[in-house]
Amino acid sequence: MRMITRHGMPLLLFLAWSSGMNSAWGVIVNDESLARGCAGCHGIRGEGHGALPPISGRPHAALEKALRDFKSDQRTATVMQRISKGYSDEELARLARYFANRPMR
Amino acid sequence: MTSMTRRGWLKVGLASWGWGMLSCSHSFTQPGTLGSARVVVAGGGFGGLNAAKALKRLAPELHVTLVERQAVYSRCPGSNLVIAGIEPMDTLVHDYADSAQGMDIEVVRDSIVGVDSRTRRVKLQTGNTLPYDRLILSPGIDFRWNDIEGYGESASLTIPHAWKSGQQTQLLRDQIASMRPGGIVLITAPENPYRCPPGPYERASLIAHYLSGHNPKAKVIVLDAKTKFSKQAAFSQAWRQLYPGMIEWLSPELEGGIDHIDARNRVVHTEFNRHPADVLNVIPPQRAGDLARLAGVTDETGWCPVDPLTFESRLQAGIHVIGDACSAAPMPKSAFSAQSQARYCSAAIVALLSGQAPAFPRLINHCYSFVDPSRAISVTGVYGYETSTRSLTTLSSGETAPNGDWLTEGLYAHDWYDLIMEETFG
Repeated sequence: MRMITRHGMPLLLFLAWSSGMNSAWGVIVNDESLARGCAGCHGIRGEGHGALPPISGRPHAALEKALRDFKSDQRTATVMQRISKGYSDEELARLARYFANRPMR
Repeated sequence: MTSMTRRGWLKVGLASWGWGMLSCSHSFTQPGTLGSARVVVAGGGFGGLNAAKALKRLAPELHVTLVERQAVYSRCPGSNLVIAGIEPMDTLVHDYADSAQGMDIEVVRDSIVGVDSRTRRVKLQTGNTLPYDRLILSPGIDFRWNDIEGYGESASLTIPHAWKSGQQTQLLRDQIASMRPGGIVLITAPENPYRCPPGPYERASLIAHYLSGHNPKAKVIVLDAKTKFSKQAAFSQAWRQLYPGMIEWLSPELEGGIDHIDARNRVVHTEFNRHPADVLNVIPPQRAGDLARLAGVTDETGWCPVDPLTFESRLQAGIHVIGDACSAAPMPKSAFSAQSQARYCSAAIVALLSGQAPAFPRLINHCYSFVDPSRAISVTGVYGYETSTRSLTTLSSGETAPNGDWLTEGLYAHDWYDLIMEETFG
């Protein structure tokens, strides 16, 4: 890391790199792109639908804990235990922050 | 990160930026002039409609045209509930006049008769041409007629496939409802890949549900071209528990595959046996819709190879293929996948037209199958982008366990249908 910045890594690349440092999955997926997948069940605004829970505008800490607990199987669910395992801890944290900052409706 | 060297990282980063530049250099639109850019979307199913809407949400100034040859759409998801008499047929049908209203999407009802990828123009049957900067094809599937000897298009008029929704759905529904007491419904399931991998088994489940109430001595046989199938453990458990002795699944290991079909007498001849049926439902082998072939984006498999970073064809620059027609393995062919691909493809196109690098995708597929009207099971996958192969890789996956919470999944399944219909056709 230090070596590359010394060799003049372009700023944008550096930002992308540093925000995705902990990604376990090889490439850095930005927040918008990570969140896009969630819309399939939670709606394009994360507003939920019927029994499918809303995720936008919920407290950051609660969202992050829920995602981490699903991933570690400490919380059971029909589907979220499978889905959360497709993301690094850092990505789950970013998703929680992203949806917490979205308007509730 | 663990598996990549620092040098590898840099190359990936630069390659992806360079790719964006390269791509926009042969785009017809200069970066930053999105307002004059034109995207044509061909096919108004779950892929096409969601792509058109996502493009307008992301870039309202973009000129988006949706070309669809039919006035109404009849959806496949949920059609097994109609075949089993649980839902009425009209719930499957949606009028395009009601879709995408107020979103400034130009809807053209016409057939595409030519695609010139060099001059970037689509030719319509009425003689008009549509210029494009980017073309999204979402043509769905067509069938490989006569790949199974004896099952061509004319045979499907009496032996339904019901793998495209509409009259075929009604035909299979009517045949099951009027079947003699104690009759046999025989479903043939194709080799992978095909539209909706768990679909044949959901169909068997829901037909058994109908028969157990109306024709309790009847049987359902699934004659498979595969030795295993999607959600097999949970389906098998559901069949034992809900419909004991009613559904029989036959592996090609026992049957040796279908030799030919005698459509007139409704008999399926396998290498080792013959299976007479009262209602015969042949789900034929499939390929990308005809439009994909016309546009020159299919390969020898009959499907369309794409780079899932953008869903741009590997064969024709400027043409993107989404939904059932594209090869996005390991992602299965489903409405959920099509909607997800539509949104990632649209975001990538907006980035390319703006002279930016497309973001790496993280796609999800999640498919529910009903085993009775209130119980559902599911299969899930999360897919990341693999830069070395420019393909998708499975980051996590799973299926409902045989002892899973089928009732809760049933509630979610109904609400998911509502949601995808509202977001696609509402």
